Amino acid sequence: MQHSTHPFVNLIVQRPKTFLITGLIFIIALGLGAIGMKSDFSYRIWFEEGSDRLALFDAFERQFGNDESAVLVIHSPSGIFDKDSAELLIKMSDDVWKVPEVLRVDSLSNFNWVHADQEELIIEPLIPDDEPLTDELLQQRKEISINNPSILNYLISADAKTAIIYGRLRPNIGTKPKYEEIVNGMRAVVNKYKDHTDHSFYLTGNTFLTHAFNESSQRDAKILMPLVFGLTVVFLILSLKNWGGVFIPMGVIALTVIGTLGTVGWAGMVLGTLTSIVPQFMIAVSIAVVVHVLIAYYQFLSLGMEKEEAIVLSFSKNLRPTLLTSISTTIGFVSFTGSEIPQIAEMGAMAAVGAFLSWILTYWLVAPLLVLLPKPKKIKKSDQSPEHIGEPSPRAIRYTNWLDKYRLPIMLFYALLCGVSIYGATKIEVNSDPFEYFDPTYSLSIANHFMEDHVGGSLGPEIIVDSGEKEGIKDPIFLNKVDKLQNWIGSFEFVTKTVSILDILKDMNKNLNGGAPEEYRLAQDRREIAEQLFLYTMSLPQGMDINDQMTLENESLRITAMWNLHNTNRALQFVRDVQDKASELDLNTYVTGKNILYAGNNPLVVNSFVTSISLAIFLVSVLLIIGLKSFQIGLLSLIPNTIPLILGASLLPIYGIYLDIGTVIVGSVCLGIAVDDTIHFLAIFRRQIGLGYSSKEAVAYIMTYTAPALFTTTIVLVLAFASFTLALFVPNQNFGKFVAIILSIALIADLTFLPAMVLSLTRYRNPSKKA
Amino acid sequence: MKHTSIFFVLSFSFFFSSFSYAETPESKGLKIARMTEKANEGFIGEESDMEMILINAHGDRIERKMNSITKEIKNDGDKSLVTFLWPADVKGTKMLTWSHKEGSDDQWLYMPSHKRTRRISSRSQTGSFMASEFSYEDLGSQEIEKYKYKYIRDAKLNGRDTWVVEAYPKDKKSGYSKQVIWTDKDHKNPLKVEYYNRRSELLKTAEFQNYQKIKKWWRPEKIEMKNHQTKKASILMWKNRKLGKKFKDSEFHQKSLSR
Repeated sequence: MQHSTHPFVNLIVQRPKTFLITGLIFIIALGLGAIGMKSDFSYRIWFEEGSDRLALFDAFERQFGNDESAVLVIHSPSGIFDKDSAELLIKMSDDVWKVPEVLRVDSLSNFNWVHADQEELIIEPLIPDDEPLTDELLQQRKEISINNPSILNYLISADAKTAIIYGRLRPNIGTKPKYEEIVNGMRAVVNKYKDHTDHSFYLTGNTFLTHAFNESSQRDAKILMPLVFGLTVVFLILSLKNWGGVFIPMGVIALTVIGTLGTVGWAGMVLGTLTSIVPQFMIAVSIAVVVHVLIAYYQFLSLGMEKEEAIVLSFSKNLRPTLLTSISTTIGFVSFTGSEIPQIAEMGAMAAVGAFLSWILTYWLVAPLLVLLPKPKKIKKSDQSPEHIGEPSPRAIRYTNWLDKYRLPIMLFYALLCGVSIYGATKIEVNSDPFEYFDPTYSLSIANHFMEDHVGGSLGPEIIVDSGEKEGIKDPIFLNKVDKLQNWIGSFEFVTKTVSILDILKDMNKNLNGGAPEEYRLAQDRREIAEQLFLYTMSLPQGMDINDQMTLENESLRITAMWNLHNTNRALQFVRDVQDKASELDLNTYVTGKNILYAGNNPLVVNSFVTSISLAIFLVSVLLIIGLKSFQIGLLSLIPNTIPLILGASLLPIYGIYLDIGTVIVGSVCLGIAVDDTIHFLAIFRRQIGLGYSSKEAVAYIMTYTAPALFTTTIVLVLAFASFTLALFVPNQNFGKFVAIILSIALIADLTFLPAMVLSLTRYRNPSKKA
Repeated sequence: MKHTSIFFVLSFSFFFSSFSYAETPESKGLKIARMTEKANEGFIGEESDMEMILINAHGDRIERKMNSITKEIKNDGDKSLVTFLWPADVKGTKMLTWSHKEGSDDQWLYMPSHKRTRRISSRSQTGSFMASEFSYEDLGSQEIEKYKYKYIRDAKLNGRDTWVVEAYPKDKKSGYSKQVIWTDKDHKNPLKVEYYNRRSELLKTAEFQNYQKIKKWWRPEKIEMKNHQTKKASILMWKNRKLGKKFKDSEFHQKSLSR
């Protein structure tokens, strides 16, 4: 049998050294970019620089400062107000002062308790460290704490069994806090005490959230890298049956990963939570091309061919199909580069480069390397030509007959399944809340759930109210409206606490008017309010900033709500509700905060999904039409690839998983990968038809000789992606889980639906077998 | 709350001790501190107009204005009365402080809208003075007994000869682990003070500018305090400073506030 050779491949084989050297120079140059690569795990990587939402949040931080904090939660089963717990609280508060970057500590032990005693105003720490902590004193302080709105659910839980210490970080203007050092410092404080007491400790706050993005990425890389790598080695040994052959694909993988990271550096992108898993799936994705070529190479060698001839033939034969499959995989990733969520766009760009780089490297480096390496010795001689390895197996024939007989019910079955799934997929909910981003076993998740169950929400929106003039917030008419707004916000069932300067003013008013509870209200005279604010500024503790509650020129103030709401669509509705309520009260407000920033990604997640999947479907169909040289077959081959996407989508709501930054990527990535099997199937099918076989014979041939290979490659990909479920970062888990599910379904569809469809379509124009 | 000596910052109101020690760095440090104390005592009374500018990390600034009078008290801390003039809506608010060598200071606040004088008791000294970068601890009487001193070296600062002395607070409640003081060899007053936080990181720097000799005492016209951690700054300025003024005791009585 005559095999065609490709001039490009011939050129490589003729000048192996030139290609090998230039190829190495290329990849080294590309890889050097990785040296300057930066990583960033802060909240900003999820938002487009220059977007209105980010600008609003920056404006807020500029006015009120950023309130990053590390939060230590102390739970005492016997209650916080006993000598043992109170002393522990004092000691731990002192230790938090010494944690790096902590500017100020807020806890019961140093809370400035202002109270009135006739004509005297007394300001003292709530739990003193210079007085004996008698039961009587502690009992009194307990009553004060749980009845003081500024303390309750902030420094102490309602049952007085959980106390909270806040380590407020110094502002980092133009730089980032050293999260690692702060986290380690806080953990050291906990470790110092945890073995000597029955108290339990939890660490949370936005410092820990930001660190969690970093820590989970590192930990996931550490677990997943060797796992995916190991799976790949097993696959290589199984498919190549040649130890020497294992090293070449490993080299390609390594260089692909290096080149991909280099591109990140050169392009000025940063490695973040989502982009840092790209190397792991590069391993799984980049292996296909080189393995296809090597399998063919060893087959040709086993037929007794000379080395050069085997190289030329194997690389020529695979040039077109591997180029097609590489492009389709690349398309899957490229489709994300337009996303307005920078991490998703950068992940797409990175993985696209990697997916195509593995093809380039296979041809540019592996081909010349094989020419220069000695011929492998242990290749068994075989008499059979790979193109005529024999007839289909009886089982394949039986299966093909079954498919042919039931082709219509099979297609109908899939049609029904898709109908039901489309209905199921309409139940998909979008969510961008970072609260559930980490595995429930992760310390931060445990801490956050504990906080919510025992104290209340720890994060929430910031509502900024602008009085419209300098010193305007001292106007009692304005303050009365803000009071209404704050009460209204506090009335939502998911809002666990609201905080604003109004609480301080009311408390001040109470203390200046004899301390009676009914005096806990706003003063109704501008001068009185001004003096109360003045008194407040005079008693501020070190590091505390009055401008975290109101702007420097007393023009705007801020209401902070803490909530346990994790439905970001509801959060966006809340933002609209607040705007409505504010205009009803004739107040000028805006709502921001990190929670709201994340929530605002909801429409972008949906946009990313819609645009990426549309783009991927369009580009893949163009590719299929060109690659398979048939408009009709090109389009039809999309069907078996959209079926798994629809089925997979219907599983999201069943599993209770949201469309988020993890699952949003699944569709296009799966399409890009799954279509490879269809391309292989249809390419061989057409070749067999071209050789004069009937469509049934062609299907039976594919079931005998191609299906096992498709099966093995898919299993490796499925296992590699399934291993992502061991990740700490939940979007990684869900991404891996659903890619694995959809690729499995795609394989099943390629081996049932696709042949059934092909058999139906070609039924009435079966050519008879050529003589 | 101690803020008596905002009017003669870092001045001292104690008797000079003429004991001489062998020159260890500790004794030399103490000696320099005593020289500062000596240089500032005997001023009898002081009156000045003050202006404070608060600057946030972005350079936005706001102003506060006040008038202050201080009476030197032998054998105890000084008595002072601050009347706030600006912002306009707190004009007339007064704060009277009797600082003490031992124990907490006595403090009264008069708020015009309430027309009442209230005594204020606070144990905190680390609090900030009117939301500025100055804490009461920085502005309060720097009694020698409250610190351990250590002479470090001689240094030139802005062309002037200085001693560099480290002062370690004895009080555990201090917000600082250490202060580094550059004392002018000529007029014996500080030119610069660095404040280190509890983690021994540089927290703030105070620069004392435009020293003027009023009668026999040297006073800065301006102190600029920069907070290195928050990037905020505060500036205190004095105008129309008069020293040696004699005030009646009755002017520093809580009953006089509402007048």
